[in-house]
Amino acid sequence: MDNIHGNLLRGHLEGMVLSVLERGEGHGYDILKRLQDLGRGALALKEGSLYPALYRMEEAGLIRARWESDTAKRRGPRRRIYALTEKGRKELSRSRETWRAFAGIIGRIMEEPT
Amino acid sequence: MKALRIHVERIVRPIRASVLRKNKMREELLAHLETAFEEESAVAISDCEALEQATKRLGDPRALREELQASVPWIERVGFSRIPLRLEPEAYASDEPFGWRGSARIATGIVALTVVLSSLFFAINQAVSPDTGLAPRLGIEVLERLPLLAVSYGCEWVAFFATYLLFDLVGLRDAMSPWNRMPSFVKACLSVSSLIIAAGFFLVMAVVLAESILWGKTPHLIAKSVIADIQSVPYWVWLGALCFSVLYTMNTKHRERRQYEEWGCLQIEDDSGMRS
Repeated sequence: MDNIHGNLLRGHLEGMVLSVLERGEGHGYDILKRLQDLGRGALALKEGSLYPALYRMEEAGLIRARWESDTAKRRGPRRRIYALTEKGRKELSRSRETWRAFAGIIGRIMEEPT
Repeated sequence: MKALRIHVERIVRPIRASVLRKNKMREELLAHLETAFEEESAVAISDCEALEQATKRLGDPRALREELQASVPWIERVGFSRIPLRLEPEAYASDEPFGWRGSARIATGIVALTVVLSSLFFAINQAVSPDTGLAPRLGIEVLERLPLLAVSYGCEWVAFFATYLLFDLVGLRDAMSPWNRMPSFVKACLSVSSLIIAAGFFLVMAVVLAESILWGKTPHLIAKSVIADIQSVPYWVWLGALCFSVLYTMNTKHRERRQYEEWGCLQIEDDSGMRS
């Protein structure tokens, strides 16, 4: 399968991040790795694009962030740990419903005639 | 690794946002790049190749900068626009000549902001006063007293123009910006005090003129009462304010010094390859 990239990905990035965070909190790089693992390598995401999306969602109250406290384990700059909020959980279920409806309609249209 | 910091700084420095927000972006992007670099180093034949791959994975710096800029709330974008306030130098041109042109530009920006805010104030006042009596009613008197407002704005322009020109002439401008040179503590205190005096001068003028416009008092008498009010403040209040301003300046300078050492001193290239 060709890689999924560009606008196709950008339109669903926030929903996918919320979904990843539902499985547990994580820092930026961690979220990216989980997205790539779940996408089985088919997501061609410019890694930097994740951060503006995270900041937008944080501003909207969908996720909350804190600086990692345990810096003893690693050297270098601190990372921010993101977690889903209650508002984010509601937004995620709304996104899922929208996606199911969207995928159902497009699926019916795109199906080969029998 | 310095090259990674430079790459991050190239993306973040031109963004119009608070220093706090930009530092968050800097630290987070740097953490990401360092992890990506470590991963790439394991498979690359040289550090140079690993660096290239890690930065490539992050994406085009210009596109990322635009996306990060768009994630900043609009109120912060406006508040940190560089033209009127000049809290930071232009995106890359930190050695831009200043002089009377720069002072005039800043003074004009500040006056424009005041005109907008005071117009809003008068509009709201006009809207609420007739029915609710919450504010003194303004009518034709405002129009009659417009020349007084023009005098107020003129005074504001002169106050800020003179302050910034003075800053430039005696080198205080550098003290306000951690990016150009390391300022001395005395200069930093002087520059903060001068700005406070300029703002205070304008505030007194604004109070005098607003009272004369809203309540029709004589500017001369109001000015006298304001001066009497200032004189009646006990000396320990002034002393406290002075101590606070010194401590505040020390703390700010300490933070700015760290900021300069970590990020501000980095020489970066803009998108066209120009160094600053």
